Amino acid sequence: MDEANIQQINNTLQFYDYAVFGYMAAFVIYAVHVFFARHPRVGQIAATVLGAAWVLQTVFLVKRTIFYYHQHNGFVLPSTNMFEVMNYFVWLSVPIYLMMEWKLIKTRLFGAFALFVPLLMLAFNARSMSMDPGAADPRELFPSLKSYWLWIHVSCMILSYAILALGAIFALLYILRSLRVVNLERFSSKFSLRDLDRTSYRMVLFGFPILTLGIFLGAVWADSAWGRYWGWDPKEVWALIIWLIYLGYIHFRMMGWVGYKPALINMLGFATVLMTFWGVNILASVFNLNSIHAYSAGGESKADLYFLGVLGLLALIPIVMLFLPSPSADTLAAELEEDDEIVPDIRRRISGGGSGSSDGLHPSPPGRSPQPPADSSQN
Amino acid sequence: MAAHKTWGPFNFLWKWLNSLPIAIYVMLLLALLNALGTILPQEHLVGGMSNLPIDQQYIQKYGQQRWEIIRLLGLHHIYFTPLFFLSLVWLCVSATVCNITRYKRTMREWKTPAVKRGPGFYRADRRGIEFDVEPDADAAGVASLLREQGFRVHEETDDKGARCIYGDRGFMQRWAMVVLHVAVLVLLFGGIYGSIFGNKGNVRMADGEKKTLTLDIAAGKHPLVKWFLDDLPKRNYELSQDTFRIDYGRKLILPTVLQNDEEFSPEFQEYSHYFVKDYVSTLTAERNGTTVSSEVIVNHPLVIDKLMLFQSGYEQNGFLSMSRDGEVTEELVPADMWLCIVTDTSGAPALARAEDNRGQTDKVFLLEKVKAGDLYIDNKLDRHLGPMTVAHVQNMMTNELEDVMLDTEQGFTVSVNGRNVQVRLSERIQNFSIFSYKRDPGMPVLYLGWILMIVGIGAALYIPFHKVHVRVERNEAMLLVSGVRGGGLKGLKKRIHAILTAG
Repeated sequence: MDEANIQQINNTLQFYDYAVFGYMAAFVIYAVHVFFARHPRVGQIAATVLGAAWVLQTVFLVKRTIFYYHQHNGFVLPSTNMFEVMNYFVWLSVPIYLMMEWKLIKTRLFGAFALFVPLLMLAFNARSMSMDPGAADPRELFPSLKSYWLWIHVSCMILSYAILALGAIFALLYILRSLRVVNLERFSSKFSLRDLDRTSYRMVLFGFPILTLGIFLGAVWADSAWGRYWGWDPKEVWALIIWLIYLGYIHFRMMGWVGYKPALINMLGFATVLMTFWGVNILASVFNLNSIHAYSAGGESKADLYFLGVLGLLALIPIVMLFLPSPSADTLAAELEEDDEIVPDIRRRISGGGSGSSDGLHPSPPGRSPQPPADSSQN
Repeated sequence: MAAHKTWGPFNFLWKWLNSLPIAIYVMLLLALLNALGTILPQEHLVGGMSNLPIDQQYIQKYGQQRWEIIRLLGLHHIYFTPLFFLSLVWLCVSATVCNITRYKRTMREWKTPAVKRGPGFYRADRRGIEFDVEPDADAAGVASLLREQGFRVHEETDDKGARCIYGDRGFMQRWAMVVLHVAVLVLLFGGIYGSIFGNKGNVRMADGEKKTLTLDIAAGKHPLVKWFLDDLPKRNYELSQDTFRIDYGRKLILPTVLQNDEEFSPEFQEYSHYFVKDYVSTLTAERNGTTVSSEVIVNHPLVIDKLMLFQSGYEQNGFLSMSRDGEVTEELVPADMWLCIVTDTSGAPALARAEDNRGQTDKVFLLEKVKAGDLYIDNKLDRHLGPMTVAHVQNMMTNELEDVMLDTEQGFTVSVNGRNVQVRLSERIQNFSIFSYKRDPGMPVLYLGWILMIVGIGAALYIPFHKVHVRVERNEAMLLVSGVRGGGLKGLKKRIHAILTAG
């Protein structure tokens, strides 16, 4: 019985391994595309390799779903342990990025950056598998997980995390660019502050409603499984923290904040996503918390504690940076000047600009634009 | 912001409650307090982890001095501290004030939008443009264009004879913002209403047991609300646990840590293969002549007269059988305790704590949880499992530790006062089904709040709202187009400009 199962599981894992190689190859080609060879053909090759790797991962996911179907006599989303959840995250991230590449940003220059978080997930899986060869094995299902809510709730949450991760990458690029750590704009005008800021905000606008829906559906599930929709469980609390931070972010944008400071809040939000996704499991282990979400328990090893520390730093750094002076306020203000769409009919304040003219209020002198206005709606 | 012009404490408070930055900072403070609650273990989460009293558990972990600080600041139940409560109250009141202001403003914008705007309005916004036009510029043509484009158009002439046109499109987005903020209040109302007028708790029932569950709404409530709940009638529900069973499954693959480590004996590995797959009660509930009977499993509660009974847990207890010279005694197996066998006053073998009876016996042992129930493999009933467990037996003479599989036939022998006692498991099993029950009249309100919130968020973020202001005065025109790019806004500025400057 066990031998047959192990064989079957190993067979399905082959596709996962191929997919991982595919993702790594796509990452390298994307990196070559942005840094060395900006010919569109290179970008096309990268996207094709990425798509092919995703297809291989889909085969793995389908095979494992079929395996679970036979074991449990029904559909079970392969998300019963951390390995499978990470795998699912990557599987959702890739098509979102490809769609974004095709429809929203219309360039393949961001591929290497966008694949950073998915590759981090795959690296985490590789580390887990090296420490415990059984980390990728399917697990038995807890009674509370035997519900159609499993795939609905998990899908919404992971989808929102994947979208917010992409938003955070653009926010990070914005911060690096504005701090002049890297001058990305020399690669392409697509790396302008305006585009980075706008794309980052759009991803949050896309991910936030899905996050809200995911939390709501989780509450509905908790209510039907345990008779309470909210129990101050660490995972629930951290999901609420994510929600509150992104809610704050959206409100700041509504107030007219654009640019550097919202990018920092976006990064803070994503640090809490990582904390919810990974950190809470480690917290529960370290502090012996009786979490009802402990399906994928973390460890108490030194590496896990260091990792927890890194997550803490990821949250702390944006908070500290928020209170430090913003970089090159004038340049940022000038670059964001042309942006017409982010905040409808609300006066904007260019972050770091303070008050006065740099807060974005530019009275138009009489007869300022006697010529027909440029169409600000064109990209 | 509220448009209160007079100064006074009320207006000052109103302004603060209406302040978006303050609301955001309170949100971030709440997020911080929430985070703190997951870094410091909270009382309600550590409670069941040890047999020690809660304060002792904290002292063990943090030391007396730190525990005093934690207790003083209430960090061990942060979600119930005055600061957390005040932050929540601030957000609730702020949301209410914000709603009132937002509703009034939206209604005003909807019914009587500000059409007549002076030149200062256009000049204060960097998106505003000014250009020369002929005296007979076609303002009516602009209005027609806007109507064609789906704008709601208002036209007026101001005191200076300037033709003012205002158009907006996607006003639903504005209402969605109102709905979204109302949803927060609906959610809070649902939660508070449910916690005041609802009941929840646990009931533990043995196989075949009957119980009367009495719901007293006032029980356990805060004195602030208890006084008016005391007079409400109590509700009785007759519960009957017809059957209860615990089904087991066999793990597909044993976790690697158990498979490879020599520390784990084959007996323990075999024992570890079996896991609780389901626990299922057949429960009958009756109230006021209405009887409901159903199979209750996790995710499938029984509902009767708005009371929901959830299968939230189970207890499975085994009995140890100790036989000596044909005389058999049975005792319930205590959990997580090193045991030994002694003789009681009548000379019969009895279980005792090992640490209280050192030197009286040659072996002490620790028992894993007893497992017993139907075993399913590949979703098919395979056989009846157990009762079974593993005993970690330590020989006090040699200090050797061995794992012994214990069931109704296999066991081990202990020497007590020079006479051998055979230890194995009894056929007897005591199962308890644990139900969480809940009667929460706030649930429909909560669901309504959630739905409003999700619809509100979707509409507020995805319906594009566009506004166009045009002012045509003799030889000059002013134009301000605002809103999210796309959604048909493309080129609108150019087209309006073209109409007005067409000669």
